Amino acid sequence: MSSPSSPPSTPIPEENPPSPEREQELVAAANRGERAAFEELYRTHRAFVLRVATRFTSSHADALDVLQETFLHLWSRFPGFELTGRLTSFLYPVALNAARSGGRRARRATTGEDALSEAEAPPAREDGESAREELSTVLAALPEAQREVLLLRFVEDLELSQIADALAIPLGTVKSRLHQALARLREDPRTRQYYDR
Amino acid sequence: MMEPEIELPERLRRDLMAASAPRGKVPAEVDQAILSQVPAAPPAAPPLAAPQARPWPTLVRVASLTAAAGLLLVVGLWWRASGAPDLQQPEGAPHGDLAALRTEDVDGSGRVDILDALALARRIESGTESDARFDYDRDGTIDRRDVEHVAREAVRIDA
Repeated sequence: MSSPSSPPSTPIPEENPPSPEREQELVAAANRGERAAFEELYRTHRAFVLRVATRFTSSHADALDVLQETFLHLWSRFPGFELTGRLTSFLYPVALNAARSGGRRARRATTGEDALSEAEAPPAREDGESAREELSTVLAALPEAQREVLLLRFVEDLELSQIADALAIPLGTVKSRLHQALARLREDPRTRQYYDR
Repeated sequence: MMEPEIELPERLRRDLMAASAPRGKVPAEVDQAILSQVPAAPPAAPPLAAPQARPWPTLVRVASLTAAAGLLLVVGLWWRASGAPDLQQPEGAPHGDLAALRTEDVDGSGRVDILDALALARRIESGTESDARFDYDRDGTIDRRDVEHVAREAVRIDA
C-alpha cells in the first residue's frame, strides 16, 4: 500500500453517486471494457467506500487498503458483472469484509473507543463541537447493527431497501434497527438537544 | 421514499455526516494504483468465419486429408486382395448402374471405392473443389470430413 506521506499529484475529485439508470449504463460500458466507465464508477463511489472503511478500521492507512481491495474486487467482476441493485449495496459488504480481514477491525468497534472523530479532536470545546463529541460518544455506544443502519440511512442516504440489500437482512429488520437507534438518540441526554431545538 | 416518522433533525444529520468523515484524503497515487488495475478491454469478437475457413493450418489440413485417404486406400486394397466380394451391390449386378447415381463416385468410375476418397482429397488439396454434391455433411464446406464420408462408403458393408 502506498504511503500517505507520498507527495500527492492531482487527486481525483469527489462526485455524487449516479442515478440507477446511469449506474447501469456505466456497468454495461465497463463490461465492454470502456476505461472511462470504470473511472466514473470509482469517482462516484470512492467517498462512500472510504467512509465505510473508516468506520471499520482504526487508521487512515487501513481505510485506504480497504478502499483499494474493494475496488479491485469490483474490477475482478468485469467483464460479465451484473448489477441487480445499487452499486453501494454491492460495495458495502465487500468493504466490510475487507475491513474485517487482516486484523484491521477498528478499535472503536471492539472497545467502544470513539474512532469516528479521533483525527479531528478539537482543542477547544465550542458549543457545536461539544455536541458533535457527545454525538460521537453516543454513536460509539450504539450496537453496531443499529449504528450501521443509522449511518447508511442518514449519512450515505441509502433507501431502506438498499440497506436491506447491503446488509442482507429483511426490510423489517432495517426499520426496527433504525427505530431503535433513533430512539436511543432521542432519549439519551447527550443527544436529546438535537430534538429540543 | 423515507417514512415521515424516521426523519432526522437536519442539524443531527449534518453532525452525523461530520462525525463519519474520513480521517484523511485519498492520495493521488492510491487513485492511480486502483485505476491501474482496471481490467483490459475484452478482445473483439472474431468475424464470422467463412465456410471454408478453418483454425488449423493448411499444411496440417492437407496432411490429414492425405493420411486419411491413404490409410483407407490401404484398407481398400487389402480388402480387394483378400478376395472379398463386392458388397456394395448385389452379386451379378453391373457395376456402375447404381454407383453412377451416387455422388460418392467422385472419379466417375462407376463404383464407389477408396480411389474416390483419394480423388476428392486431391481436389480439396488443390483448392479446385466447390461442387456442393460433395458436401456430404452439409456444413457448407467440402473438407476432410467429406473425404472420410466417401472412404467410409467405399468400405461399408451393407446389411
